[in-house]
Amino acid sequence: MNRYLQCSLLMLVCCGVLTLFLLPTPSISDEAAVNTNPRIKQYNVLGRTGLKVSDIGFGAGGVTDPAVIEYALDKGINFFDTAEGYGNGKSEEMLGKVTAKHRSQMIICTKLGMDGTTTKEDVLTRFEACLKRLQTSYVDILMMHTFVKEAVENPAIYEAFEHLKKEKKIFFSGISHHGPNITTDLKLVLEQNKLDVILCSYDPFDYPDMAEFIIEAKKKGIGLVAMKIFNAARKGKLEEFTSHKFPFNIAAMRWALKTSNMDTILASINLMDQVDEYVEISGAVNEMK
Amino acid sequence: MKTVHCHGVLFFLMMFSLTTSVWSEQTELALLPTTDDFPGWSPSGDMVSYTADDMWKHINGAAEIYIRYACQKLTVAYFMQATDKAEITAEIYTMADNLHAFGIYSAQKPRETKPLIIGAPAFGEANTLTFFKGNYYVKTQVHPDTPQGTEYLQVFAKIIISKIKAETTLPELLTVFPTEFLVPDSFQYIPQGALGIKGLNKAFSALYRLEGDEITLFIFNHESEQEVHRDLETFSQAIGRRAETPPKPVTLGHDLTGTHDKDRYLGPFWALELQSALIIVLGTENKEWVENTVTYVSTKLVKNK
Repeated sequence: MNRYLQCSLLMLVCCGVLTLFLLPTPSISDEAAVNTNPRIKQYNVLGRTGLKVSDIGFGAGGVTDPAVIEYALDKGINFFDTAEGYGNGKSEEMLGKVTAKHRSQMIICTKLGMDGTTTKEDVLTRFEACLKRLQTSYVDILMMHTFVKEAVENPAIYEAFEHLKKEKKIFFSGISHHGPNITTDLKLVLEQNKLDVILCSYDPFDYPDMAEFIIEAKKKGIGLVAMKIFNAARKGKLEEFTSHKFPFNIAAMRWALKTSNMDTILASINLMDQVDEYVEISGAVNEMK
Repeated sequence: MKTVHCHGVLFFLMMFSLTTSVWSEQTELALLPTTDDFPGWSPSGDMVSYTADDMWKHINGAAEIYIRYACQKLTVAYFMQATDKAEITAEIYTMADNLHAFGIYSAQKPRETKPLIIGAPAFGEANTLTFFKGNYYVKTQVHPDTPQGTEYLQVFAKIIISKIKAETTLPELLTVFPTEFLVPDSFQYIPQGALGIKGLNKAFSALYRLEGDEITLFIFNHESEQEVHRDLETFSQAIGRRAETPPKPVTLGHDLTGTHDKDRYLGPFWALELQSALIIVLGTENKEWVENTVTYVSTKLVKNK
């Protein structure tokens, strides 16, 4: 009996030790965060960039406190969208206050307004100012801010992108489109296939060919980031997503996560409570399968 | 008779709404330079106006912060000058009041930028110039980015400033902030979600630098002690939710009570209750400075009342 007890105890100790080894190694942010729940549950590969982005992205256009960015990072959000034009660069400045400590955990996408007259030097000069505000030596994705046909056809912009890639100041390029004519305009971008990421409004109601466009972009390996989902969600029926009495913004985000097939969905975030609300529904696409 | 009466009311309402929209359109239009004010320049295309609901059509994701700062209307106008092929874009944000115009200006002003002397609080780089006056927050941009362009932009901005009849009034509460160690031009007004915390609203803040510390002083001014206490509760709960233990209580001097601790995101903080204000200090462990500062603010608040 004693021998049996000894064996059992030994087995228990072994199991305990084995469990400790088998448990996933906590990441730096896991160790640092005090309350880690809820956390981002789903990361998607952003097309050919190979970047693994949280299914919920941080729209930093209106963020006024760097603590919120740091909080979001601890919750697992790793995609941060900003632009030169957001608050005269203030949005980039806010991110810059966090990059010193957390740059390697962050995927930063910034944008410059460009058109047919934009020169290579113009892009390079303005981008240097972005880097300064962001307090970093590189940005993961640099985008043309808002689709302008003349910009998409302007070779100087692509030269600037290539120059910055060679200097390892950016790794990928992209474009944003806020509408109208999203799918029609972006066909040109798909045909050219020079840009790695598209950020656009997700609206299958005004654009019945949106699903087809997304499939086509994915075939080409273009990473897809969705924005402005609330506007579209208002046009749809969200019963399926509101069944647990979610407020509209959360129901809309659940709807976009489930239906859009895009790699990350941007939420405009300014409060820590918003981080918690959105992170809670990360992975909704899997939960609702 | 009733129908006639109803039609009359309807007609009056239609005329009233038409008149108000035209009047409101003219208000911003009247602020823009005419060809007489600004020789060689003329409007290019139509002036376009947006409300808070459709502002995103023009400024995309950036709209959210303007809405938070109670922007009621955005008017966009373009001007051209044929000789130098120069273009100026003006964005006039009509805010709810002076306080919110100051607020959005303070939120968007880059930190270490030098203020421009053009007749209203202003900042800018080579091809942009931003200012506020009265309840208007105005952003202007010139293309191409040349020294001549910068000069044009200054003239353009000065014309708009001269046409805004309302005066620039800085919030009175700014006078209660101590001036020693104050970083010049660092005041901010945050209407909602100060410190990223839901429910902490209507905050004024300023930066201080001393002995290597960068300190932010927040003042949440209220009418009653209950409101002050509610803010302290909101703050403590938000901090407590992400910490292992709730923030530690602290007493400074004879009667300053509140909490003092270190938060992972905010760093060291002090949250102290005054009769009509909650004071939050971030970024220092210098107890003496905090005590002196809060006492100073308290005295000034009493005097101001």
